[in-house]
Amino acid sequence: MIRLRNVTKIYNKTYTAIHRLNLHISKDEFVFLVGPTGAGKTTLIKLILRDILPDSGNIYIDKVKTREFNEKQVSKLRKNIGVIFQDFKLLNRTVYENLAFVQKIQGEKKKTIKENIDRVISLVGLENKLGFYPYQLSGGERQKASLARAIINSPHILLADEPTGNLDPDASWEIIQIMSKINMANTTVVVATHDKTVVDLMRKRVVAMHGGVILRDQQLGSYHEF
Amino acid sequence: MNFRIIKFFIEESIISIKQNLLMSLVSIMTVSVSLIVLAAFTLLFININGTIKNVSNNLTLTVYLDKNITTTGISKVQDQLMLVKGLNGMTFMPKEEAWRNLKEKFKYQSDVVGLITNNPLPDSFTLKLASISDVDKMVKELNLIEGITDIRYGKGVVSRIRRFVQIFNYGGLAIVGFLLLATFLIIINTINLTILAKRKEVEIMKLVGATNNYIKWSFMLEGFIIGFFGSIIAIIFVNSVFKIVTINMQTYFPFIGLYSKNVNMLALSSLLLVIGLFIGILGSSISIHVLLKSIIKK
Ligand SMILES: Nc1ncnc2c1ncn2[C@@H]1O[C@H](COP(=O)(O)OP(=O)(O)OP(=O)(O)O)[C@@H](O)[C@H]1O
Ligand SMILES: [Mg+2]
Repeated sequence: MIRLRNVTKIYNKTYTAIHRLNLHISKDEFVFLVGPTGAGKTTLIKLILRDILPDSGNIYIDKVKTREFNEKQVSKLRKNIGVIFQDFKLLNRTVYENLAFVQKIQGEKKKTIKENIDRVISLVGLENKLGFYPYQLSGGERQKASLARAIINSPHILLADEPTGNLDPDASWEIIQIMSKINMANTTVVVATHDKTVVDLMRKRVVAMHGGVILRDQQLGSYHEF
Repeated sequence: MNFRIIKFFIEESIISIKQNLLMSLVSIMTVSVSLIVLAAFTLLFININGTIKNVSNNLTLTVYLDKNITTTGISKVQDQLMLVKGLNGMTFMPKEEAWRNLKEKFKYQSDVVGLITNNPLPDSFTLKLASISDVDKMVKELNLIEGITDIRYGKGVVSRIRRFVQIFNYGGLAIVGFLLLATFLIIINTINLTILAKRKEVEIMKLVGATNNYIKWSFMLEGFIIGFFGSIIAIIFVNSVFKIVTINMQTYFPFIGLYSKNVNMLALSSLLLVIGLFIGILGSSISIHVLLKSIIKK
């Protein structure tokens, strides 16, 4: 599903954020990316989303090299990859309009758009905030709106960068449970996180990074290596 | 392109204008002010050029006759005028007609004109000159004709107007140049502000799957809307001010020939609309082009 081959990302021609990294994530896997600040987790997610291109090496989604994608293919790719960003990246319009936008650009009908919004908004429990602007929401609510947007086009892959960073333990667990549900409905999920409790409780595959390389890749893993 | 996409572009451009309402208003006003300045100069040039043409096509000389001249006296004068060289024609203006014309011309000051009951004007001949150069010789010749009491001509006026027009043209060109530069700088600045304000939004749109084309079209439509409202404001302003000015000029300065009849306000308005839409669309194209390029670069 997602394959990285010898991927190197160098920022500003000097700072190597990802170094000759190899990683393969199969269909319907649930993977935690862990590691200290600056390890390269966000960079890895951006590479998969093709927000940035690697300086060397290649990334394949469904066996297709994304480097050579044209604009239309990138748009299609991003329809199939839902993302929760570390800083949410919600548009400065209501939650409803945010959820509608990602569907409108894929040419969905008004009726479908409304149905999808009803479906995901009850999943994240944000029904009474549809008319709110992002700045009127709490951090956790923004996180939920962001999650709702990420899954509304029924993507094959869900990428989440610190999805529980702003949440209390209960809300964190709630979000992770929603993602687990989505994972079981045949979506590959990749979560970059510092949330030790969540990682240890879930017992999923853990990929631990440091300084742009993978230190540990473990099935049924935990946040720390014992 | 189906209806749903068009609807999407319209909604997106309206959202964008609403989000940056103040800046959209500034952009609209920028377009309006540029167009108003352009229109003002166009009208001024039309008028000045009209005046020059009028003056140079009407190198005329008016001879006034004795107030107590008889009909035979008038035809005698006419016979003698026929012999004068360098004339391109002449028209006789009976004093009654001259008086009627004057009253017509000053109809807005009927109270003033009304005070005068007796016709104070003499009969006159208006002579069309072939050339302005031998006007002095001609005046001497005309002075010898019996029955002519006064001769009026505007040689000094002609050369003074010529000089004024020259200065006006150069000065005007310089002013227009400066104004264009200022407008250009304002538009560039507005574009920069737009980019700053919209960069984050456009980045997000791309990250969640919007293609450049989708973003471009929404921006263009926004530029179109801004250009449209900018020119509509300018058109309303220019038309009303033009109306007020022409009426007031007629009322207070009836002796200044205003070439309002030669100005096709419909054509001018259409021109303003076209230029406004052009500025709006061009401005938004430049700004979205720069913005998308800078996003790709990173
Ligand atoms: N746009 C950029 N320009 C230059 N350097 C960058 C850029 N983005 C990230 N970096 C650098 O790359 C390194 C990896 O950053 P990254 O955001 O991937 O870390 P991370 O693992 O997500 O950290 P955190 O857990 O704090 O979110 C950091 O040292 C960072 O300074
Ligand atoms: Mg990060």
